[in-house]
Amino acid sequence: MKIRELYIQRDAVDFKAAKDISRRLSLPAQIVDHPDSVYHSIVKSADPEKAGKSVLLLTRNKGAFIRNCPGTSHYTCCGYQILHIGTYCSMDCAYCILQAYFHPPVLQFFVNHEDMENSLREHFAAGITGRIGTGEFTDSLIWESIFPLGARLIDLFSSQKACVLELKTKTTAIKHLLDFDHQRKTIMAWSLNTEPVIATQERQTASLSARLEAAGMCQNRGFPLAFHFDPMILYDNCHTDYALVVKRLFSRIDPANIVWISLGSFRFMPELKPIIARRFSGSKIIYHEFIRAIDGKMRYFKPLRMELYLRIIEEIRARAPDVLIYFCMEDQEVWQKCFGYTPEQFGGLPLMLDKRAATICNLAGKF
Amino acid sequence: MPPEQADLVINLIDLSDEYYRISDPGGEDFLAGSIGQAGLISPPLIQQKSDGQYRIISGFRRIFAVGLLGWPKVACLVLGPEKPDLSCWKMAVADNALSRTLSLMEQARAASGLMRACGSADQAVCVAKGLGLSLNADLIRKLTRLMALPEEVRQAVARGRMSLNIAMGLETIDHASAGMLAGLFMELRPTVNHQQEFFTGLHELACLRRTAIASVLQDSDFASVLSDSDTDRREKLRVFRKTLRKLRFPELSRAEDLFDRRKKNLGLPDNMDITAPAGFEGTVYTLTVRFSGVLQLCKSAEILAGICRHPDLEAILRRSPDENP
Repeated sequence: MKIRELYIQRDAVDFKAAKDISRRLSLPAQIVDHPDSVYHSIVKSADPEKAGKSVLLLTRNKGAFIRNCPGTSHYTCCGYQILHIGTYCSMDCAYCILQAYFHPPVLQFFVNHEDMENSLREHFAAGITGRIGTGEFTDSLIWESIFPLGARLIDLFSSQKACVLELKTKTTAIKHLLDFDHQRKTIMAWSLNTEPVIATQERQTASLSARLEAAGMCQNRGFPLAFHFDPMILYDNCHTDYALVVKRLFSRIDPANIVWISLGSFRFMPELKPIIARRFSGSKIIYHEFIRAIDGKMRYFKPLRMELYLRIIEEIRARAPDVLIYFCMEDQEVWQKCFGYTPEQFGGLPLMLDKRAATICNLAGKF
Repeated sequence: MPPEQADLVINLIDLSDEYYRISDPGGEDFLAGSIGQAGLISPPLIQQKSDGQYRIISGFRRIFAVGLLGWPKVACLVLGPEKPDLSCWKMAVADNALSRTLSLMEQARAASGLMRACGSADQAVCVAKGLGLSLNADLIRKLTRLMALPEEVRQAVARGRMSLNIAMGLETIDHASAGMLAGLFMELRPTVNHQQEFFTGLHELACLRRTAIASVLQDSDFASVLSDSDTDRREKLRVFRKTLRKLRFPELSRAEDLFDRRKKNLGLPDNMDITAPAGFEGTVYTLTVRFSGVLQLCKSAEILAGICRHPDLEAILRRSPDENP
């Protein structure tokens, strides 16, 4: 993470995390009363989405730390809960929805960790099985170089049996986490994609080999693992390339250690299209056969995405017949035609995933 | 210094210098007839250049008309070479804008000149307003940008065949492609919505093929549509749109064609229709039955019962992933 400007909101200055990060970054921190002044400096930039990746605002999360995933109607959501630790990402993926989701996109890290921990403890106390992740509004591990939040979270989750934490990343920032006594309550998860997609659409992310290597290291330390093929992108020979990723995954990882694998195809809010066209001029990903889906997002024409799903499911099943594969935001028809069942037949996708987490991660919460 | 009145030899005026030109060309014959009858009532404004020649500030059509009449000299108001650019533009705009309503291209020339001379759109707005030309800053910027586009594009906009917003979009593509697109619009005269559809579709095809729109338009599918001289404009427009959609969305088009074929096989009567969900994304199809009496409704119900057993309806609803919907 290369931070060029550091801002701290006045009411966050005294938090330990703010002080630690200021010290570690060795940058003069500018104290601001309101984030608007930070936002203005980013909006004025010719490339605000890029500018926001080198400006860090340390602030308090004044809202809920634990939130429901913003799934859209008509498509099946996994019911995952988000631990809201910060916003945006220092890596630069063409397809990243965060470019259009935040106005303006800026790296924000919430430093009121005591509030966060209290929220988690309250949540744990309810004793209801749950899956909580930090990788929805940011990458889970990009912050580790400036603040070891992952380590603290692993520790917190290890002391309870209701919920599992999923740290989802495209980095390899895991070495300092390997020695923690995680009690299998933290799932280390990687977003996977093909070599051509990583090379052309995922700037500043770890290579596929490095991600699999990091996953292997976590596996050796007993961490449960998860993998997310999301977003899968259509291009010439993509079917062969995705099959190759599956082959490489299972040459390194034991299927018994995998809690789940998710599949999702590239989809985007229409507002993202001009941003990708402007920032990734050589990228062709927005010019495939998209239709405006029922939730207003652009999605690949359904038979095209089903064809890709069927191929990768076949590849995964051939190597890991028992691993739970699920779709992120797909409809009943896609589930039925690709898997031969819908989640409703098993009590719904959230329950399917909760049960899987309970089995692999030794959870003892209520369903 | 105020302009001086002088009878200038026409050959001393550099007619190729159109730096201050605002007026659209045309109608000079008629104007020559009028001047021949009534004389030159309003003298053109001319500026002496540093090389001794003269250039026109306003009155391009008048001087051309006088030339047609064969007059060796023309009565003019002459400005010295020291007259600032902005002053000359003010006179040019005032002389044009106060005598008639300016066309879009005339406004563009005026806006572009004032922008250059003023240095900012906001300043240009103030100056233009004082001269009787009501333009906002956004329009001044757009018109200035229009002037930098190829002549074919400017012509298409001037003739109302291309919207100003579409023309602005052409700034990002090469001039040859912009020119070809303008030619296409001149020929097929698409509506503004269809202009956007053409530009977006062709631009995205060009991006996918890593080539220029000009090259995409040379694709044999498009070329055969455009070169067909027996087909009228409306039909060409329809076929062109269909061709573009097939090339841009091949699988979706194939699915639409298959759906249409199957729907046709159902033999629906004129008062019934089935529509597919948008983009075949959802799974709910819509049946429309129009009727004006109980008898017609009962008859429709009987037909519908037969259609429900039709294998093509089953195929439509099955939506096998192997064959698209």
